[in-house]
Amino acid sequence: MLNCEQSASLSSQRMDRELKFHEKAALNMHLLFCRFCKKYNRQLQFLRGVSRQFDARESGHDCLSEEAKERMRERLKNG
Amino acid sequence: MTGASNIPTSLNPEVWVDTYGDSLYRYALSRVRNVAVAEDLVQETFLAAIQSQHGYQGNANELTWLTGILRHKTLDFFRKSSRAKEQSLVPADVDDRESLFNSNGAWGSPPSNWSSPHESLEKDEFWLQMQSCISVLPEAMRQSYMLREFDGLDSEAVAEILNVTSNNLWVMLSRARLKLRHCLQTHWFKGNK
Repeated sequence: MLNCEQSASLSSQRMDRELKFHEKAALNMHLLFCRFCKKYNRQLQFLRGVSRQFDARESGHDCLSEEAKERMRERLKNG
Repeated sequence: MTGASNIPTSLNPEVWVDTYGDSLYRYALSRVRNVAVAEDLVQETFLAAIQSQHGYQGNANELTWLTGILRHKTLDFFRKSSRAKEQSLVPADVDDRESLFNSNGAWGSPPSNWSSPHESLEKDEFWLQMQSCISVLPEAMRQSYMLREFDGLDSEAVAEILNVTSNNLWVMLSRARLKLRHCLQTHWFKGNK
């Protein structure tokens, strides 16, 4: 039987590779009985959806410094 | 001005720094987390864009096009720096097991219910929290997570860019997801109803 740590690892790896037959069987068996891991599994899917929507360009308040901008303008002018 | 006639009028390099500089910088900084490197990447992006203006199809907007160039520059940066490192980032990062599981492999702090998670996406604070949770991940985990989940690259591509084995990558991603989930549960889903 898998423990929760192993189950969480397989839940994650299932998002990155095709699990082997016995891994799939063991994971599904564990998920059938463990509500925490079932929840974890659902939350991983949510995280993936959220991450695909994340736009770093619009997130946070970081800006180029005036000096950096000036440097770039000069550099671009000179080609 | 006949020589310039094949350049779409929408391309306007003189205003790029002021119009797109900050957006591109935020993208670069979120990836490399180093001000000087991020500035360099943005500048290189502008220079490369000027040199390849003919590659601009006009069917993407300018910012999308510039972001595409920046993305390639960023991937190249990762590729180079992962190969320059004498020792990989991986072992130390993967080692910290924290108290997410107890010694029997049971949850230390089990996943709880997330109330209406999809409504969170409408809130700016949620995205700030997300960014903050990402930024506290150990470096190798953060990079692998961003390449895999933000950029949507497949595992093989990410492993190649970061110069790690597939097995290491899967472990890093698994750790990153555990930590990210834990961070969101702690800082967002508790207390934001």
